[in-house]
Amino acid sequence: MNPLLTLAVLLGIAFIMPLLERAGRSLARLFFIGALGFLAVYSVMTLVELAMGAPAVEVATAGFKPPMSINFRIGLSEAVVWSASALVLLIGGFYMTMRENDGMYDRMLFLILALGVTGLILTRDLFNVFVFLELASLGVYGLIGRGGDRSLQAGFKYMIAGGMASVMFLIGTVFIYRFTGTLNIDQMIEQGVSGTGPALVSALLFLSLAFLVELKPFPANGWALDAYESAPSGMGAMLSSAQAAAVFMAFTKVSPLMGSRLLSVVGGVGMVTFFFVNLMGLRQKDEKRMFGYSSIGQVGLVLFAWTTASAIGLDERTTMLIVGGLLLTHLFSKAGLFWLTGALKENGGRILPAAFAGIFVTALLALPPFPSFYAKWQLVRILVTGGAWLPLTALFLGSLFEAGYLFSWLTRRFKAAPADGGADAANGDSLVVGKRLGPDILTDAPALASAADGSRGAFLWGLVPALMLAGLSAAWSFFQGMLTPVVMAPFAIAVLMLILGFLPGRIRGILAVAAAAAAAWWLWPRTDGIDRLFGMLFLGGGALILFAGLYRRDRRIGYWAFAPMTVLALGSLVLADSMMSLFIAWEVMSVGMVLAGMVGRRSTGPTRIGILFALGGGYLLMTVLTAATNAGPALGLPVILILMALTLLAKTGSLGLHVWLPGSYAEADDDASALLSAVVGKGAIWAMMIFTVRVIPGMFGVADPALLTDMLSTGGLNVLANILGWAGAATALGATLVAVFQEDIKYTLAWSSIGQIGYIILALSLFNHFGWTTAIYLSVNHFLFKGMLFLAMAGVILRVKTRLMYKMGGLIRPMPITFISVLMAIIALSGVPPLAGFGSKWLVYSSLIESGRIIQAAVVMFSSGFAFLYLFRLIHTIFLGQRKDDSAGIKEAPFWLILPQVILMAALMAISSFPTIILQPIIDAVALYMPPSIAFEGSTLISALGYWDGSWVMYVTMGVFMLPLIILLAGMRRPQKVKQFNIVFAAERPHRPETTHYAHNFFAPVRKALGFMLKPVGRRFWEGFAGGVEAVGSSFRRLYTGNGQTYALHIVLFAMAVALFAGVFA
Amino acid sequence: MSIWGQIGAAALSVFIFANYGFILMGSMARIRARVQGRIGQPVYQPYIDIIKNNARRTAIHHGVMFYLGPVFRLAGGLGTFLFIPAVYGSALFSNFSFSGDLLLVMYFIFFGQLGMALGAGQSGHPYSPIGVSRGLAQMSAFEMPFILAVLAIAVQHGTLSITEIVGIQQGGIANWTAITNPPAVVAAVIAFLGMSMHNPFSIVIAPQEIPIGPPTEYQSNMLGMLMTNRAIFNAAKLVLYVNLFFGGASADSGVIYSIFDAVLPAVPVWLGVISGILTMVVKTFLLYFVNVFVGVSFPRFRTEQSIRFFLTVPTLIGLAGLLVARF
Repeated sequence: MNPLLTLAVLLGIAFIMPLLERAGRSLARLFFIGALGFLAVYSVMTLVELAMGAPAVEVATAGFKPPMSINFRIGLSEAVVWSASALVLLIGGFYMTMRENDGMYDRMLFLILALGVTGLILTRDLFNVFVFLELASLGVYGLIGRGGDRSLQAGFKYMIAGGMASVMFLIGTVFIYRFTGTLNIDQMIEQGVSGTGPALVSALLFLSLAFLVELKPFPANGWALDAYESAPSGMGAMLSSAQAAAVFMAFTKVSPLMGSRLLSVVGGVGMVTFFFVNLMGLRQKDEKRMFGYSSIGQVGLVLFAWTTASAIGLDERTTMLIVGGLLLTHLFSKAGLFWLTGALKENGGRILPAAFAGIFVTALLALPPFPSFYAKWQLVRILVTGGAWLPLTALFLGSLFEAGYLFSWLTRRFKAAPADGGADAANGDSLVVGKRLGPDILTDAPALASAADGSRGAFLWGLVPALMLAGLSAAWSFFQGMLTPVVMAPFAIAVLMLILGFLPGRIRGILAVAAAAAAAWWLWPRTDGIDRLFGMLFLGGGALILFAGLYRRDRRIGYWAFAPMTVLALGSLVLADSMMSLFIAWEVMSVGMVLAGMVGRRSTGPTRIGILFALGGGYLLMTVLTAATNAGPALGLPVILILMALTLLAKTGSLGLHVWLPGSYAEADDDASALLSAVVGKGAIWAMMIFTVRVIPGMFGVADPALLTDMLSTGGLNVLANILGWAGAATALGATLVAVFQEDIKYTLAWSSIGQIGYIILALSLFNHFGWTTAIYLSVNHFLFKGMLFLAMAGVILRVKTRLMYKMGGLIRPMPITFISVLMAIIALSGVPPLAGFGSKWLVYSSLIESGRIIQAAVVMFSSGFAFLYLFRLIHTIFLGQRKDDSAGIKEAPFWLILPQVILMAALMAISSFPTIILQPIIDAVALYMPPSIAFEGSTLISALGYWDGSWVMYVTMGVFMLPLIILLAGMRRPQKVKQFNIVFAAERPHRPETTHYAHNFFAPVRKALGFMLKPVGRRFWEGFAGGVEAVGSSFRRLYTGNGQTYALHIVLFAMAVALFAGVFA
Repeated sequence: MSIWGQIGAAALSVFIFANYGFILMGSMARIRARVQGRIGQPVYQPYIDIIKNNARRTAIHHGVMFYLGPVFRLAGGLGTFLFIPAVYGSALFSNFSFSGDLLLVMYFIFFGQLGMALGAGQSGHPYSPIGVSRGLAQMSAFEMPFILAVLAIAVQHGTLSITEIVGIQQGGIANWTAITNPPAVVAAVIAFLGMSMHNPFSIVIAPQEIPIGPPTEYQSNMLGMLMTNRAIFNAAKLVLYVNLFFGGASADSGVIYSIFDAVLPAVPVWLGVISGILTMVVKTFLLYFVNVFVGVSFPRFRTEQSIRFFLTVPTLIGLAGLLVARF
């Protein structure tokens, strides 16, 4: 069948639409959808044929061969874009008739638009391109203008801009015809555009300008933004997807005519547009205009990618991978977003729409496994290996800006705000598990069913684009060799869990636990050394903490999807066998960490900051990983190390880069906090080790894993390691100081986690056997005691319904097991013998002193002493002292929380009594990479400086503990347990627990003495930075006055600027 | 030595040093009284108190943790003492120091304090946590100079083993850390003032405002246990300090040993050990006297004042000690 038929059908039905309308609206509608359906089916069939290996379809019109006639060609790339556009047009047609305007003119204009889009994609004739461009524009002007007064204005402004573009196109075409004597693009390319000089350059320039204006470049794009803002959602979807894709495809045909300079200017315009529109989008509150910014930016990026690929002569396959990946992802996700939001009338939680919107946003942000991710990876590789730092920076910053506004939009739109206002929530002074907060999409599904009545079925508009994205993701993953069980397992579990969202939470929870446990069982024989140790910590530990999540009866749609995804991603990380799979696992782990935390009720703000830090760190890592080439890395070793260290410091929340962490940990669900702190936080530690012994040496083609660690520990890179050590030490001290003054228990623990990871980083920065043994041992210990603490607190918060410590008290009696768990955990954390925590202190200090890091040792010893302050406060104010009236009658924490704690306690006791069972494997694992400097003699661990026998410490402690205990018990004469308040209190009996329980502002004197050190410098810096960036972005928005004449002037000035760069005036 | 022998030796060692601790407490109280112009208690008053308290049975309690508080406290004192070798060169008095080095002792000190604080916390009496809060705050501050002094020793002597540190200091006063690294020792001794909770750092147990701080609710045999601990714990800290900074006490050298050596044809082993103990007694007495001397001369700091104090001058002195150790 001749593809021209599609044009005839579209045009024909558009023409007879008035007749059909007379015959009946239903019939008209049927024909309208039928025409679009025909287009879609035909284009998809063509694509299938071509994909099966059929040759490109060549069509010559009117029986003549080109150049006598206008010819069409459908190669693979055309077919891909055509079928994608046709699908979008089909759904768009449905959307328009069902949800927006269903008039005769609307349908006619829509068909004309479809006609223009099809023609633009297929034609190979320059003048014909102009004709289809006009046709498409005609459809667009008309459809935009039909939404009311503002739309009419916007449509008119669009028409002015489009008119200017047409004029430029025609001038360019005329001149090119003068130089080449043909309008056939293939012929032009074949014979080359002969001659030079200003006239030819100008001709090509005019042509490029026409395309650029149609693709809405910064700053000459105010008219387009106005159109996005005021046009109906369905039209926005078409504008940003099908129309933009078609214009871009037309541009790709003529781009071989343009010289390298002009192409690079066009690419530069693309990147500048991507950067600036995303910057300006940061403060945009209007949803449709914000999508407009994003769309324009994405198209700019596609343009940049295309010109970059052309400039370096990239092969067709990779070009399609990059450009197609970006374009198709944008096409489906943006159209999906427009439809979805157009169909949703009010804000607030709905599960499916939220899930789809999340998919679209993550796809736009180029996260794995979407095609845009692979595209971005390859693009970054080109930029890194080519040393193009400026575009690379613009790319990363622009992406971060986009992430900033898209994620805050996502949370704003789909998360219900706290019912009692944010101010109260901000200082933690409200119920956490109570009923005062609004419903939350990802946790309280049933509560929301009624809220969604107005938009029932809205999710359907996201379904097809989401399915398309899924298919494309599978295809791109396959092309990149990433469609393996190890890489895909995290995605699979997340998707499966979302699909099973209708099941009760506990059943899905059990599945999640089983998945993590099975993964652990599977991983054990496939790994060794450090990988196995961490793999077990991630997967086994993850399974244990996931198990605790069963204490909640609600459905927890999001948690049971993202938490196992994060855990499995950690497993994939350990098993990663290529740079790309490593990065994918890393990115999924980072983002999953934030998403798993996002289900907490008040975590909107921290989530956004967390995502930005996760992505920012990811970009740095991507730079490092893509620098690997066959001829050695494109970056110097110090640069690689610094980037790597920054990534990992951001991930672990090192001082200065910590601003995202306390909120993310503390505001997450209570068991999610345990997972994040105890398990997921260790991912970066593993990564840092593996990078230095495996990944980076691999990049340099060095076989000896100890080479780099030697350089870092004693060789020329010692300074870097020392700086890293200082970062760790400063983090340990700073975070501990802050933790002392928190009233909210979860913030206390979150800051404590930051501090503890500081110790691990410090130990790791020694880059020798002793240091790394210490770091791993610390990680294991931290997993044990932070798991216990966070889970214990989950139980406490569940029972007392507050997170503020001073509102608790006397809980030892109703919650004895929880108390014992906390007691053991704080003994372990503080490093008091005989529990394993002392081992970690002994290892840290010994290793630091041995390596000559004396001052750092002093700093962490001091901060370790300081940790006692918050630890005692924690256990005292919660469990001891006077019980509050409203905690009367509470019970022990549920079984689901207690069991994991008991297991953790047993593990802690085991490794405390017999340190060899964990330390010996660690020593052996690290010894694979560097020579050991500590060893066991019997049960005594011996270093160059000292010794420690954990078993004997345990025996002696038990002995000296039992002795007084027996004496005391022997001398006991049935004492009477007195009631609350029966104390020697200045001969008075106190009346209220609130006035008797010494808890609030527990360390007031310390605050007086050291409060000056607690200024939130880091947070203020980042707030100032973010505010500054947003203000700069906002100031650019003033360019857009809304005045059509100004916009026309913008286009003229833009054209002159491009001409200047293109060398026309030279 | 067999395990039972070791336990027996440890018991003997604890017995001797506990008694010494009682006498020390009594004598120092008496000295302090004399300085203040009072007659003061008899030197054996601590024995009277201990016997009296232990003879009484408590009739009430506040819960399990309340019970365990004194147990933890005494275990902490005993453990700290047992991990320190009391007399260098004497197997009998080396206790269980093979279990760990200086770091173990430093951290075991917290064992009793933590348990005691928890026990006192369960009493529900507000004075207990007030005292604990002050005590912890002050402790975290005086740790700084102490840590620096310990690090200076570790760097200077290249070991963390207490036995080896004492060994290095043998052979005359010139080898003592006090002589080889005076700033470190000054910093450590200032920290010791904080540890001992005498004036000017007695806010923790501030008798006027919060009767005696943490132990407010304890009486009878539980108070007796706490007092016993105070004697042992004091002795332990003093022995540690003497070991680290003042040459320790040796069973086969030292002034007292040389007197025996001069008088007798051959000094038997048991006499050597006794000379070691006597050396330790003299040194610890003098060290403890510093406490009393400062205590009677200065008024009390508020908590924030003592935090600022410890983190400024003594910390700087400690840093100087580190420099001395390094170069």
